[in-house]
Parts: sequence; structure tokens; C-alpha cells
Amino acid sequence: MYNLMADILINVCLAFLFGSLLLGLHRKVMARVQLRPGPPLIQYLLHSLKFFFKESSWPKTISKPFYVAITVILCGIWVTGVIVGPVFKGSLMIIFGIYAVHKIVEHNSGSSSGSPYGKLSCVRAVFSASSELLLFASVALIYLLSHSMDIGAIINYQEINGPLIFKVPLLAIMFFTIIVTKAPYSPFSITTGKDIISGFETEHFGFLRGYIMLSESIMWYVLLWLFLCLFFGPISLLWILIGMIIITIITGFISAITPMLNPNHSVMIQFTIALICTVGTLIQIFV
Amino acid sequence: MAELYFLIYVIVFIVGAVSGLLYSYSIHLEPFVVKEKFNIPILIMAIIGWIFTLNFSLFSMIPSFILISIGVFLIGFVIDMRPGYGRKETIIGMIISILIWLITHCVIL
Repeated sequence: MYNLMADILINVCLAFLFGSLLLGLHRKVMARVQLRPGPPLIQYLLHSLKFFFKESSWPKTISKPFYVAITVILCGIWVTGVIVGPVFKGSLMIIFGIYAVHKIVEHNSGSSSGSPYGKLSCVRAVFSASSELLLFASVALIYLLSHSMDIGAIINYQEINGPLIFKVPLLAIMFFTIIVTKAPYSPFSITTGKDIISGFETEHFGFLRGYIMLSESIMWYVLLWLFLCLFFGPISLLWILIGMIIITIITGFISAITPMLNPNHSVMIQFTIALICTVGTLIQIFV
Repeated sequence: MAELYFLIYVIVFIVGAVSGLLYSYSIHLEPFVVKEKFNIPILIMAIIGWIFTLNFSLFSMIPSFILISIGVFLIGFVIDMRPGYGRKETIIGMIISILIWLITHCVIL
């Protein structure tokens, strides 16, 4: 008998555990490229769990209700991402909304702590909203092709017409840029840059940091799942997980060999990628 | 249902990884990585782990779910030992297992 709650619980646990392992692999790949041994694969997971048992402390400058609520919201939106994505294969618009709320969380998480680093990150979160342009353009172009916002329907479309990655590769590159943007230490991750001491994550300690790390691992899983389903169509869960490992290795290489960009450059490059890929995809569709 | 199986495999992998990490830190407390040729027990574990995971169809008398779980545990144990250890063993285990898979699936068929 199908049990929806069990399905959600299994998918959320899988997203958290596998997402954590992927982020551990990401660090490992970066380390190996930089000729360091790197941490064990389970380091990210161990860190996430460790923070839930650490003592939490509260800086004097925080806006407390906001400071606490924002981490719970972050966790909530990405659990919703799992429900909308892998469980229901629902609407892309909800995923777009989740991504937009993620930006708001980055912004408000930075401002709620009162830390100067958090505030800088807060300003950069507004800058980096340009990555939403990539997502919006991707969603719009996928709709133009498949005439649907429903992930399940888009997968079915690919079953009949072939994977979108071969039909509109520029669109896949644009979506891949969103993944690179969200990868740790990526050239576009200006909100958590080391020049601002990890930005909005600086001032969250103990279980609040645990929530942030848990959410990030689920986010990574959902974004990769979305990319694979939107561009490769009906593939089995085994191939989705293998695909996630391959994409994580690729992003690990990119993060290891590229410096973090200046915020203005980051925004300009994202705009340029969005423009080139959108125009290219439109030409491919209509010409 | 596939998600449940994969969740179990991921959990088993994590348990294996934690065990491997604890084991290797109990053996190697040096502040540097000791260069050693091959750790034979670890090599055997890696080979068995990869064979069970990739070639479970060869052992039809045992349910694949159990074989893969054991295999994933052993892979996790070796792959996630203290950084610097278990790499060669993992690569050899993987190569042997892939060769067996190729022979049984491509050559024989």
C-alpha cells in the first residue's frame, strides 16, 4: 500500500544523507585537484550532525526571532523542494519560488545577525539574484518546448521526443550554471565568500548551523535531481544518483581551479551566460 | 520502493565509512601518511565489496539486496579510511570488479 508520509520521509532522508555525501565528495575532489589529501567523504555529514549537539550561543546584535526563524525557513523550503520534486514531480514554478525564497533567506540571514560580514553577504545576496534570471529563463524556455510546467509532464515529453540535453544543449548549460552557482567555493558563490568569512553563515552556531548545513545538502540533491530529470528525461534512480556523482565531480573541478569572482564580475558573467544561452536556445527552437 | 533500497544502501555505506575511519585511525596514529604497498586484508575487503556490488547477479542463490548491502559496507569501509589510506585497494577492487562485469556481460553474452 502506498504511504505518502513514508515516501516523503524516505526521500527527505535520502536527500539529506546522499546530499551530504556528495558535498563531502565535492570537498574531496577539490582537495585532490589541489594536491591535498582532503577530508573523508563523510566529513560534511559528520559536521552537520555535530552541530546539532553543539552548544548554541546568541550574539548580542541579533534580531532573535528572525535569526532563529530564518534557518528553519531554509530547512522548510528545501524539504518542500524534495516533496515537489522527487516525491510528486510537481510544478517547476514552485521550485522557482523555493529558489527565490532561498535568496531571501540568504539576504535576511545575513542581516539578522548584525555582523558586518553577514551584512556584506546580505548585500551580495541582492546582487546574486542574477542567478534567478538563469533559472527563470530556463523555466520559460522549457515551457516553450514542452508546453508544461509540470516536471512529470516534462519527463514524459522527453520520453517521446528524446532528452532535452541533446535538443537544447545551451539551455542545459544555463541550468548547469545555476548548479555551479550553488556549489561550495564556486566562482559565483559570492554570498559565502572567504573574503567575508563565509558571509551569512558566519554568525550561526550550534543547532542553527546544523539546520543550515542540513538544508544545503538537501538543496544540492534537489538541484542535481532537477537537472537530471529536466534534461535527461525518464532515467532510473540508480542513474540519477550516478549522474549526481558525476556532476559533483565536475563542479568540484570547477571550484578547485577557478578563483572566486568579484561580485560585479560574477553578476556580469551570469547575465552574459543567460543572454547567450537564451538567444541561442530561441534560435534553436524557432529557426 | 527503489528509494527505500537506496536509502538503506546509503546508510550502510555511512556505517561502513565510519567504521573504516575509526579502524584506520586506531591503526595509524602518526601525524603523516605511512607509505605502504598493499594492506592485504583491506585489499580483499575492497575486492569482495566491489564484486558483490557490481556483480551481484553472479550469486543468484543470495538475494541481491543483501549482497549489495554487504558490498556497499565494505566499499565504504575501504574508501573512507583515513585520508591517504585505502586508495590503491579501492582502485584495484574496482578494476577487478569491472573486468568481471565486462567478461560476464559482454564476452560471454
